[in-house]
Amino acid sequence: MMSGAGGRTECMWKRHIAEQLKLRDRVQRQAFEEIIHQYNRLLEKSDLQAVLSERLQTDKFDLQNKQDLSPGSDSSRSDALLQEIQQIRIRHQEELTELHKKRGELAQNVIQLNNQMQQKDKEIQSNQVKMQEYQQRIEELEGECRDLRTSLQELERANQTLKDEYDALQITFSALEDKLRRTTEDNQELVSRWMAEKAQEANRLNAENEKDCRRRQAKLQKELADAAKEPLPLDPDDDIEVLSEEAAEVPAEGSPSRMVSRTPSKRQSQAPPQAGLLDSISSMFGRRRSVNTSPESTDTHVGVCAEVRVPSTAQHVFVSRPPSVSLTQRLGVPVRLDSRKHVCVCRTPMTVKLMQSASVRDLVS
Amino acid sequence: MADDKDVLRDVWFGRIPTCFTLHQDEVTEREAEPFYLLLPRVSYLTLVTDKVKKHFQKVMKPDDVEEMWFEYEGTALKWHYPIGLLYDLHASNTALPWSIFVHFKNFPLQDLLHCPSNSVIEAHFMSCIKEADALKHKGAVVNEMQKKDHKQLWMGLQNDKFDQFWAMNRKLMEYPIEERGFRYIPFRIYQPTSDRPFIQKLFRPVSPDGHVHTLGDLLKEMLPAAIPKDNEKKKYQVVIHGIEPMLETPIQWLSEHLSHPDNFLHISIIPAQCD
Amino acid sequence: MSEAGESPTDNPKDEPSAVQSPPEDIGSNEEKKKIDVLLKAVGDTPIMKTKKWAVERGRTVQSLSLFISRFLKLEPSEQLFIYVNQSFAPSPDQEVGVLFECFGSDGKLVLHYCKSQAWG
Repeated sequence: MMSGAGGRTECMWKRHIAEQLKLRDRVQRQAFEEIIHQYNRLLEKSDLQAVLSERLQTDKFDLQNKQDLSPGSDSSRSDALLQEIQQIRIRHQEELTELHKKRGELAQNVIQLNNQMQQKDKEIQSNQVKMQEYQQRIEELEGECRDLRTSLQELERANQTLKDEYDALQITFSALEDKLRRTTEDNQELVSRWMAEKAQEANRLNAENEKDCRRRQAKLQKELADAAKEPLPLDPDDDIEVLSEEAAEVPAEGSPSRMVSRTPSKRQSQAPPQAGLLDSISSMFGRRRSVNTSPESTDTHVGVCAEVRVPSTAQHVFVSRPPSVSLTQRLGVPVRLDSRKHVCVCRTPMTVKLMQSASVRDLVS
Repeated sequence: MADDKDVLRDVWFGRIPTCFTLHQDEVTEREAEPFYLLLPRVSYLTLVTDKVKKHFQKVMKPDDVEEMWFEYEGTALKWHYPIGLLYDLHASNTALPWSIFVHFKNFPLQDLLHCPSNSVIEAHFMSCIKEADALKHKGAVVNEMQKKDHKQLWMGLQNDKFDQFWAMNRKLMEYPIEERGFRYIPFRIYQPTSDRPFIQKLFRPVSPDGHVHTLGDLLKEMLPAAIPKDNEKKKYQVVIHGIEPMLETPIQWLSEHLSHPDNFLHISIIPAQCD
Repeated sequence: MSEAGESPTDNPKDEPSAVQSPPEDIGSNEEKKKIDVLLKAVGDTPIMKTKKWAVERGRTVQSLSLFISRFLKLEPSEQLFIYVNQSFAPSPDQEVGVLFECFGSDGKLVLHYCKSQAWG
């Protein structure tokens, strides 16, 4: 029955069922339907006839009681006719009642179906309305969706741009940081180097100064010692005189250093700029000393004066300044800067002249 | 599908040729001929045997007529079982027409329920539908229906109106789109001789991992003996509506198309014919 | 199980077995011959003092209904309707075991009983 090897499994079981049902109906229903129907009709008829014959029997009995002389054949014929007519009438009546019943049922059905149809129509209507609403809503939502998507894209792009910028700035920043670090390092290195060099210079200066100092000290001590050995010629005439300014002894710089020096006029000619410590001291105290440094020609006075008083005027005035480039420039020589005391120790080609401590103190304060 | 609709029609219009004979114990005034009737498989005995009653009442005294009941080969036939089920279970493979004895007395209370009126049949029918829907949809579909919808189902059955009935019944055969079938399949498995009336348990049409259950799967779970093992001769016939569906038939499809109007799949397991 | 009672036998036709069930049937309801039934009254129907019962699986709805009627001392003329899931009335010859299998929840079968038709 199944052509072509039965196709899909679904077809198989479904077809099997359909076929089996048809087979069943053939055997169980169709084979008996007609027969049972006819049987029932015959049954009806025989029932009818039974009823009728009963009734007719009683009628006949009644009739017989009334008329004993009724002719046989006529009555039998009319009986048969009567029977038939009555049968037909009864059958018709039954059919009529059946049809009435059927009509009632059908009318009911019609009403029911009409109601159902109306309901369905209403449902369809409301469904269509709903569908339209949904359609509209869908469109609205789609539009919204699209808008949201585009704005999302834009925001994403902007965000990306910002991110890129940020990254670039980040890179720049780190590069600059590096550069700064390196520059700072370099700067520090340079500063420390410069400081080191300066320190070296200063050390060197100081060392030299120290050497100088010590040399002079030694010299002075020696001179003192020499002077101490010799007697001291007193010259009352060589009292305190107002000495003229010795421009030659002034260091190269100009105005800031005013030197009011007291030098004896007599022995001025012989006074080379290079004067010993002793000379300076004695000149401070109004005594002219020879300025030649040769030890044997020292007719040096020992730094003892006949008349001693506190000088009122400074011989040399050193004005302290805060260390500055300008000073260096002006002096043209390196200076050691002692920021604490602002004491300027100048190393000049000439001797460094010490000042009286009092004045120095004034200056230093 | 057109095939499916045909199946529904064939199931609905199935008939069993039956011969009703008054039992010899009954007292009659004269002999009663047997009464033949094509019984609807999907209906109930007491609903379609008015003519039988009328026929036999004609030959009996009114006092002797109590509640009518039916018997086949010594077994009292339960009116609240569908007629087709009764036949398949008790008289399959016997010569047609089906011979039933009619009784009017000695009503067997231990075997049968009383059926005083059609409203009792209606109540029973509707109860079955509700029970089936409770299994299929947790009762949701039936509860949504109105009283007149319930009435329509009953009237459809009572008056043998296929379209009227299915106009409403199709709702009970639907299931949510996201599901693959009903929640549970309403079924009952009967055997001619058994210590209990029938087997009814929870059974899903589709397994959790998506395997579509078949008639064979159902039987394997509920009555494994019904399925022959390999190389074994078939011992039992699995009959629904007088036919033997293939065991590969999906149980969901069977429930939708081969259920009775009460929405249950009534399955008979009978001994196979020995040739 | 507190409040659990043994349902007594009905007329011999329904329960041919002895009056008391053997002790091993009581208690563990696993594997069970018995299932737990919870009876709930509907409407103005009197409420049973004991609501939870252990009932044999093979017991019919009819026999349970008779039992409740007698327990509540209803008149013979008064009908009792039993409902499952508050939606359908099972056939009187239906076994409670089957109902429990299909409609039981939380290990028990809830049945509503009413003197009048409640859910059609």
